[in-house]
Amino acid sequence: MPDQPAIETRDLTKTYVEGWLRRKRQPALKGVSLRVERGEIFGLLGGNGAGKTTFIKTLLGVIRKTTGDARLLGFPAGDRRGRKLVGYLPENLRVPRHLTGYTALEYYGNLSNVPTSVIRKRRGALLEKVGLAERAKDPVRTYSKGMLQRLGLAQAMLHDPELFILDEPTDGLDPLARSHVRGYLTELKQQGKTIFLNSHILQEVELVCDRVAILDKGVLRKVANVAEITSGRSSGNFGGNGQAADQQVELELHLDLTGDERVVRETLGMLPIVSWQAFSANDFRVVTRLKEQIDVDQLIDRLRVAGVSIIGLSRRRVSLEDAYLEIVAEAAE
Amino acid sequence: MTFVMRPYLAIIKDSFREALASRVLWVFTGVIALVLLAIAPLGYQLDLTGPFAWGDIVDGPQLAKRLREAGGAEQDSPAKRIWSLLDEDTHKAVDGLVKIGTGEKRREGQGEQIFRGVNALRKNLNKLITRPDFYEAKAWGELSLPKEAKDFVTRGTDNLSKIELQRMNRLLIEAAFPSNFSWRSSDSISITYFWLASDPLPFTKKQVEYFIKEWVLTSVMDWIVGVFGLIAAILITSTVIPQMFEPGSITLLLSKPVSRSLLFTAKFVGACAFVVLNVTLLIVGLWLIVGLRFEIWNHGMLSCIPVFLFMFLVYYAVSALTGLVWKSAIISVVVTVLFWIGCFAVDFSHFLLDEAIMGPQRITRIIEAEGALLTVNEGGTLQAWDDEAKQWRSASEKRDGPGIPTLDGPFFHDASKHLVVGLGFRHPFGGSAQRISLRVSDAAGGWKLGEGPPVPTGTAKFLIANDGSLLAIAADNIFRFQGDLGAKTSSVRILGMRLPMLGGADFQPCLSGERPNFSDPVAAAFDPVQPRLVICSANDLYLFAQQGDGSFREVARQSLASKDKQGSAVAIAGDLVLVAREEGKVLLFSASDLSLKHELTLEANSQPRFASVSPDGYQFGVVFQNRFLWFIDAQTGAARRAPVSAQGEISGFAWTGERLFVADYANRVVAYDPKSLARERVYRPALSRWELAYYYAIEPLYAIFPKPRRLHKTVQYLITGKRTTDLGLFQGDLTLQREDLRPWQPVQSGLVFVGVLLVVACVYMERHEF
Repeated sequence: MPDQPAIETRDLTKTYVEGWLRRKRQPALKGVSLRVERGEIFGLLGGNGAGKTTFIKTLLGVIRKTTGDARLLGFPAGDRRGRKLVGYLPENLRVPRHLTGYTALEYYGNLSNVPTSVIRKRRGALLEKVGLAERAKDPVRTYSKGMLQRLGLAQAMLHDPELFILDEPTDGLDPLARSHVRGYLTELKQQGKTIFLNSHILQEVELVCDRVAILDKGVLRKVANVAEITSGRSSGNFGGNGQAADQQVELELHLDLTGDERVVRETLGMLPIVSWQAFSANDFRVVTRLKEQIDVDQLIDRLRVAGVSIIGLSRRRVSLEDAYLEIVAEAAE
Repeated sequence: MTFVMRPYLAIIKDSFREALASRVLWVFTGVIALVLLAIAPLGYQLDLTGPFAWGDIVDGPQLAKRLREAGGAEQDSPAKRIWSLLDEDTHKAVDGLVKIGTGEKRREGQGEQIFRGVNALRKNLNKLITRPDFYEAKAWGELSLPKEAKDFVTRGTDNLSKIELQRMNRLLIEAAFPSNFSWRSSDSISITYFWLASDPLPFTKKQVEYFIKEWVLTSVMDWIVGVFGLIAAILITSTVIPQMFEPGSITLLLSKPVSRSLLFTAKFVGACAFVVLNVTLLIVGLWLIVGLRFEIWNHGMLSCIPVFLFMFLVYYAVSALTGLVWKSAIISVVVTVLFWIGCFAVDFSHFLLDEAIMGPQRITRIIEAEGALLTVNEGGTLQAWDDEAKQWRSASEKRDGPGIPTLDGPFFHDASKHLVVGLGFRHPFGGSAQRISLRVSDAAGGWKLGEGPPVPTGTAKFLIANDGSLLAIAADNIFRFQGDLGAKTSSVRILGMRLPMLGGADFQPCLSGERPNFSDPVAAAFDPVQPRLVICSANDLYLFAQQGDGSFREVARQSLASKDKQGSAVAIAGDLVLVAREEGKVLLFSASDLSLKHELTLEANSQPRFASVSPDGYQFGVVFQNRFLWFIDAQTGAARRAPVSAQGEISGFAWTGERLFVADYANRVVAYDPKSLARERVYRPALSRWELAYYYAIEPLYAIFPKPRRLHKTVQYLITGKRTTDLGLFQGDLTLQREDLRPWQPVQSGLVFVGVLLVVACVYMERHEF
């Protein structure tokens, strides 16, 4: 159903029930509402146990939702028609040890109902693309974790799906391999494919995703463009359980200063002090946040006028990680 | 293109790929290949039967007497020639035998003397047959020789090989004393391994084939494949399902557009790949070796491949379900082993109670004598119904002896008011004929069996003529008992065993005219109305009529078409002679000229066990090994299953003057009115504790439990092609109990079991969250 979003959930909840006699209920998703449009690269962020994998398993029908609604490419979650159009890379992929690169693709391709003849035509180019062509005939038990991950990506791409669901796709990869993966994802996006990825490596997500959602303890905290999140200008919350930042922060300033502490504090005035380190009675490292470059210039002018020596100064953008930590910390408070 | 089964076929294909990539498979394949290579040089060679083996000489004292008499005679004869060539020591041994044979009274300890004498004679004969100058035309001149011997004589001794010379001379000796040598096949078989060969074995090729099929192949299949192979397969495949559920593997599989149930089923089926590959290699290898080396092309062996696969599936269903629920190979193995123990326990308890308690109790023969109802059960115990205690009271002890005990009778000798039973033992390999002794009992002695009079040499069968006299059918004559059954007797014993080789003085020969050679197995029956007797000896059928002087004269003879020597059960009445053959057919011959009238197949998958005729001579009855009773009209030959209760459980029956007795449900006897077949009385003892356990615990459990261990019966059926099996290698005695293999019973119960477990597993698979 091309007019439908790639992924859409409304008030999706999942509660695990454990134990035979004394049944213990463990909520994993608490009313998650999310919409992923076709053609975008969407990142789902969250720490360990946040519910990311549960969310993906629910979408794929590996586990059943408790309440709410979840649809994949317009089909109810778990529907075989929807699953047919999905290329999935699980976290910690395990490929049967007796398979080689080639036979693994044949096996998984057949499971996606791709005829062997078609697989044989495609598999060479795919393995070439993920950099496994030379090891194609080797048993996978001789593969490194990164190679397995790349093989997993190849199998997910084999049947030319519309939606890719990738659970920690760069986990265990070296920097070069990560950069390759980013390359494949960009290429897929250019082909009009939708990519939904789970990750806790925020730098990766920041580099590749159009939009991200932050999931924390089963609750969706924020859904926004990466740029908006890092600037604090959040938008696109569906469920209302994401919190807007009260300040539009864009720059983070690290200052190494020498001067009287009282004077420094007065000069900084109302600016937020992210961290304050005192090296001696008059030597300090201060981290603060500012909106624009002009604010930086004005601050330096004020410090100089007040007689404070600026020993060092560095300026950087607020990263997604900073924003994420802040949002999660705020939620915890 | 969408092909719905593609994903599932991919899983099965992958299982084969996995099996082929497994080192364990190649280790097993190597072991199997080594085993096959080790047994491949096994073979056999056939040689002509030359030297006499112990047991070939029948009635040594009689042979000695004949030799001695001919040796002293004037005219040339084979016996004289043989006597002249025997050495001095053998002459003395023969003289010793003659003295025993002609002695008025037998004494204890003479059995050993007979043994030594016969053995000396046998050894010397074996020397004689190596002599090129043994044959003298004038000595054998008038004697008709078998064709085989004639051919050798025509070729001349110079043109014969050493073994051909021995064979010729043996045949010449046998022709000289036709009734003193037991029948042996013209070929003897030796087992070879590479260039090594065993001594000639006292078995025919057919017996060796039978032994290989019935014992070697089924045991090899049962143990190597059914036990060791199975244990290995369970251990190896126990990881398949748990591995599938490892995180990172199952989520990917379940994300594919496949059905969970079919995914599991395909994985389940795929796990058989390992078993298929190894079992196929082993069985096809064995099949080729047995075919190429022994010329036994047994295609049933090949059909054992799916049977073993199925046996594995029954256990694997447990392993797979356990693996699915607990996702642990160790738990899978433990639970499967517990299941194996459970199956074994139920099967073994059932077998034990059936064999030790229920089976031996099963009544096979019934007789009414002096107002008492007497029966013989499968265990060979003669028992009388105690109406007060409502129990069967045992009247004889358990028999022990060398071989399989056989029982002839019981018969009631009205003149002396004695019950007569012929007891014998068969060699388990059928090498020599059985030796029967007579036991008698009477009402005054509480029917306790005591030793009866000595019987003629080579007695194969007893029966009661319709004039009430006791007849014994021996190797070449019919004898009538004319003594006193109540008289005390003594007997020759050797090594503690009673030897009925001698005497039979109270039995008078009564066959007039030509004396046929009744060879084992012998069946005989007397007409209840007319004075005539039918005897079936292996594949020859004889009809004798009783003359006015009591002697018997052969009226007709018929050869029964058969490749092998077969046993029969016979009966005669009205216009028909009934011959129920070992192969399962019931033949009806004209009672006047023995021409074949009808050929019936009544129980296609079973063999007849007992045949009898109603006292009025209107109806034959035949009970089969599968415990179904049939009635056949003695005039028209029309057959029907007897309209009595408990068909399928009937182990014996008997007509007396006023009643038809039918033994069913082990130790129950039901008396019917012979005409209306209305039930008149039931003789059933109270159930013992064991019987209660059997009927109310073991039987129901056995019915619902799968019976994978019993699949070896299916294998046995497929290899031998026979639904019933006898206890030893001896074939021909129909009265011996044969086990109905019920080959498809374990398959049916196994199918239900596997089906149920698969359904449970599929429901779990569909419902469970991974």
